[in-house]
Amino acid sequence: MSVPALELRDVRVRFPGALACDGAGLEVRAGEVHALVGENGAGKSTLMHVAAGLLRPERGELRVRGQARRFASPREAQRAGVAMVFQRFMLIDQLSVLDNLLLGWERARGFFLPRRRLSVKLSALAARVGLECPLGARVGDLSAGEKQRVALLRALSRDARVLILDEPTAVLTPDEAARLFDIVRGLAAGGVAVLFVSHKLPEILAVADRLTVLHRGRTVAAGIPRAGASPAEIAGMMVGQVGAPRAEAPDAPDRPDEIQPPLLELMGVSLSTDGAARLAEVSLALRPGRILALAGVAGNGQGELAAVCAGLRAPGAGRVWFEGQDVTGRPARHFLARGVGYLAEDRHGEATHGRLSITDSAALRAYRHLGRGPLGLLHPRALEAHAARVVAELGVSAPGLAAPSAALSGGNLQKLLLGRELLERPRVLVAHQPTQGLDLGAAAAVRARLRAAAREGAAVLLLSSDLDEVLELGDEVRVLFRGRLSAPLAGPPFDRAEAGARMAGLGWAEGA
Amino acid sequence: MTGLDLATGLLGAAVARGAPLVFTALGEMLAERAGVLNLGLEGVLLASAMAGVAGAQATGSALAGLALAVLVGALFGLLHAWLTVWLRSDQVVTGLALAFLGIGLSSVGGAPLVGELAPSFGPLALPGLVELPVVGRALFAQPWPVYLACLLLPLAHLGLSRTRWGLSVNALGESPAAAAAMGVPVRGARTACVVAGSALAGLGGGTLSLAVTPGWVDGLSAGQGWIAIGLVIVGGWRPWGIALGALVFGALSRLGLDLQGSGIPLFQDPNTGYVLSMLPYLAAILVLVAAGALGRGRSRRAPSALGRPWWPGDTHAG
Amino acid sequence: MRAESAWARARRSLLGLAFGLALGAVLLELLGVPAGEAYAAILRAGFTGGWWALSDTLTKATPLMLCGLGCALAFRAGLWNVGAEGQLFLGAWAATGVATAWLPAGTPGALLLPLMALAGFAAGALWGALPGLMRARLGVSEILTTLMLTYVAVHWNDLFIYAVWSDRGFQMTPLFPAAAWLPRLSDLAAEHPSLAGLTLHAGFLVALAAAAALWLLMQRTRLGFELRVAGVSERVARAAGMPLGRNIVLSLALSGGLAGLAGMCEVSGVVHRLQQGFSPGYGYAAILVAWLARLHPAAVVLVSVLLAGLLSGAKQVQPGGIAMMLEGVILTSVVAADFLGRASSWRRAGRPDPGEGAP
Repeated sequence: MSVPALELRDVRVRFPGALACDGAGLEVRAGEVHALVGENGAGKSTLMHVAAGLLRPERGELRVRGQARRFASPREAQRAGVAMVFQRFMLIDQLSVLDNLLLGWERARGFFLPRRRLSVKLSALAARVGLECPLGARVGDLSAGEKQRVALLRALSRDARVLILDEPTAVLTPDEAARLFDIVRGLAAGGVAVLFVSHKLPEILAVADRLTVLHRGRTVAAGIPRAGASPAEIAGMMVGQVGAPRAEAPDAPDRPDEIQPPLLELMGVSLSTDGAARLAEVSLALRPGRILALAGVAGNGQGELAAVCAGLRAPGAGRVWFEGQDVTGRPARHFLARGVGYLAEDRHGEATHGRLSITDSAALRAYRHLGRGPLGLLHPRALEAHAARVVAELGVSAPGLAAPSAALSGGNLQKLLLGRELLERPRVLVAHQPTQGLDLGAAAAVRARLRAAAREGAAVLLLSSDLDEVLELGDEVRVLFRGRLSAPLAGPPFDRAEAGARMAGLGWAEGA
Repeated sequence: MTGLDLATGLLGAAVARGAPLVFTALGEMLAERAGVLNLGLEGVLLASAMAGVAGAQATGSALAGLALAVLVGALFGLLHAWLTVWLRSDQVVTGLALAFLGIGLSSVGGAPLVGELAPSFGPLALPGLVELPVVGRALFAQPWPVYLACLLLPLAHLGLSRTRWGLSVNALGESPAAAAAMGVPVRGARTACVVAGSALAGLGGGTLSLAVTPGWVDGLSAGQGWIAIGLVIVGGWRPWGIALGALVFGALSRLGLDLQGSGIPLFQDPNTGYVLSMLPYLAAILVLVAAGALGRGRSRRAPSALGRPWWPGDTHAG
Repeated sequence: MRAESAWARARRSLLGLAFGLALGAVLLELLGVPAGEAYAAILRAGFTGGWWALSDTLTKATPLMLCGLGCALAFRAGLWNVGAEGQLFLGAWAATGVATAWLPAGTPGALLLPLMALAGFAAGALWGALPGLMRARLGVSEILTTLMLTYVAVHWNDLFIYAVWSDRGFQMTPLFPAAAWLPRLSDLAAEHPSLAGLTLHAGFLVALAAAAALWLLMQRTRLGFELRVAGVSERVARAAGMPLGRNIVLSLALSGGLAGLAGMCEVSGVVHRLQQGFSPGYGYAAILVAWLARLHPAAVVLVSVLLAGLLSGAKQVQPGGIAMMLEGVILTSVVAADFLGRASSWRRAGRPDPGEGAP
């Protein structure tokens, strides 16, 4: 048997308060596509960061082609032939594609960058593997799929023998994902060892030769061939159950009988940022008791749409109505006062900040009415009492209310944020990527509460790049693509293929 | 004074007085392009100007004084880099602290130097070019550090846009996490840029006290360090923008004196002197406002990671 | 992971202070100034030289306190007001205008003093609001604008000191009428002879009241909450629906107003005229005060007294730049101690801290 291209054994990585990896390991052979699976928070990314030289493990062994190595930096890993394509790409938006490719490249030697010569070389390589990209374009202007190609090309140009892809399909339409799998298979055929990290079973089974399953930081199954276990068994291993798990039957949705008048309505809303159009003539209506779920990969205008609905941005054109009143361009305060709740995508940078205490984070929505006495003074005890109520709402596990919110895990933070919105009894709730990065337990809890909020009469707008989530939660499903909103999909039940096609830009009727 | 003389004098002064601004602003630009804000430049400028005079006086050589000024600048840069890049302190407060330190040091250390004569750099006429009408006298009879400033501008432009080193610097300022992932030694490179930038400011200080307005008085720079920082913003973090701004401010700082000596009655009233003294600062504000109003375009934006400390393991992408 | 205790932070501040003083002594020696004598003189003139020294120190603490409170407020809100000196100057100018130029002579003190205070506050507030507007509307850095306006303010005052209001061509304005003098301890010397010669004036009480008011604002009001959140993250503040633009202008205006009030106290309580150099850099020292005090109003009171002693004493020692130099050294040392300590405590916890900045 040949020596594995990459081998990790008994890796332990510790972060404050948690062991991200404890006894994790895997082994990848040249020319195979090997999938590393596990739910969010299982330690997959962490283990890969060790392999790519970004993290130093507390304990563990790393072997490249049989030779024991210790990477002190990503550069050393690259020199050993291990390259990683990150989930967020690690590209520099403000520079051109070519400059990103040249940065830190050993071949880009000499004082003056031989730009022209190297761009010819890179174009040739791109053509060879099917990863053409516009070398002169500014990376920030590219779509997520195009950025990923640049990141891939960058990894390959450094003569990678082991290629690690971290959740690559998170930002791709189903079509783009299929194309990526083709490229990956081609690379493997050429002798590269491809490590594919993902939590999405269906696509892994489509492309992987072998699988390794991680659960809570340790390897529970190593190198199983694809045919060696049923999808149900693998899913069970991912969540730590022995045998096949019971399929989580969604609550039989009791759909409201009549269609109620809309609470929040957008009509012909268009919006541009930095001169680029982000929303084009979007019209939608949010009705009490219903979840309007919008599918689409990130970067098609979700952020802007969420901001408009929450009152954080005024549309460049079009109007926004709340209960029949024109609220276009009114400040966010106004929307909040009318009962619009907002679950931002950026939990640590927009919904709250790591340095704000849990109490203050909880108070951000409610502080205006927590004052007591004739002067409306905010007493710390009132704030703490409120925070305690928020914590109790979804059962947040917190080390104390005065702790900075950075101390909360991803799942607990989101529970806190959702709890603080729900306590205000919002009439409209805008949820942008509510379960991104959450472990299965927290994700399920969040989804359940969103559904419950809708049943209690709130109008919910869900924006998510997780197609399954959209199809599961939505009472009405539409697709957001390049800032345009499709007509509602037929259903429920909704057709996954139809959604996928719309996400790729196909099947849009004139003016839909 | 004829109009032509006025123009020649003003142009010459603009170039001469612009030189220290160019050095200082280029130095700040270098640090900021790498992602580090250095607000201590007023202090560096004053301290190095004082050191330059002290050194020249002690050794009898203006060149030695200039070298000492550069050294002082580099030392300040080292301190700033240690605190902000390695200890990850707040860049604004650290910069201000160093500014105070420099201002105070220059005042204390410069006290015995006031009114003393020290060797300085005389004008170095470039043969042939100096014969040119109008511009000859103004542009080509300057002390040689001024020529150095002019040379530095194209060098800076080329360095940042064409070299491998320049690419790394740009990457550092926009996304240190990505640069680190590609093998750029973030903290080491940032330290180098801060030290070099501060050394350039030291060069500016030395030029000021040894070439442009020779001698030492307390508070010699009158806020030029702060103006240089403003120039970086106004110039869009690009060498040529900075050059333009430096020329304008060089001219403005001389304008007051020239207008008073021009014989025009309005400017003979001493009161206008005070108003004219305010001119450079009001102009600075106006230009900053204009830059803010107009410069919303992408090319004039600040480096994305400016002011944010970085540590190994920070994977916050951009 | 817990938030760091206030004690730990204060301890680091003190360590930094001690180290700064030590380093300052070294620097002084290097520059040929005998450090031991200098420090002894400072100590004597500042604190231990009898009631007179203490009164002098508290008198100097007044503008430091007011400016320091202003800086603390602005810094807490995430805004770098480094132009307190200019706001101070302008407040002094406005108070002088009210006292000598804009109101009829013979206006009673009960009316004059409050109007002077109001004018001083308003002028300082204007000088802070302008950069605030530029920051709120155009994103212009308030660091640069407040600084530039300081230089403008100095020249503006010069115009009036040397020309417009000049006292017979001398480099100062005429002496204020008695009604424009803030009451002092020495005013009571007739009944209490021991108070003779003590120049501590009512401005000190105003400063204490301002400290209490600031504490109330920052810790107990909705506005205070909004400012604190904005100081941590503007994005979060905006997403929470807070009126960022209004708050930016308000914070800088309040901050400037306090500094302007300090200016009024100086010309009305100490020098009783507008003259050059009436401020030995109070506005700049206030930055150090605010930082050392960790932006807490109560600590500002304490630190400003300490620093006033330093300034008071340093004035007796030549050369004049010593005070600013020591301020720079102390601030640098405190910053270093601060972040050295913080870096190691976070390292012990094993995680890099989620944000830099305010203490």
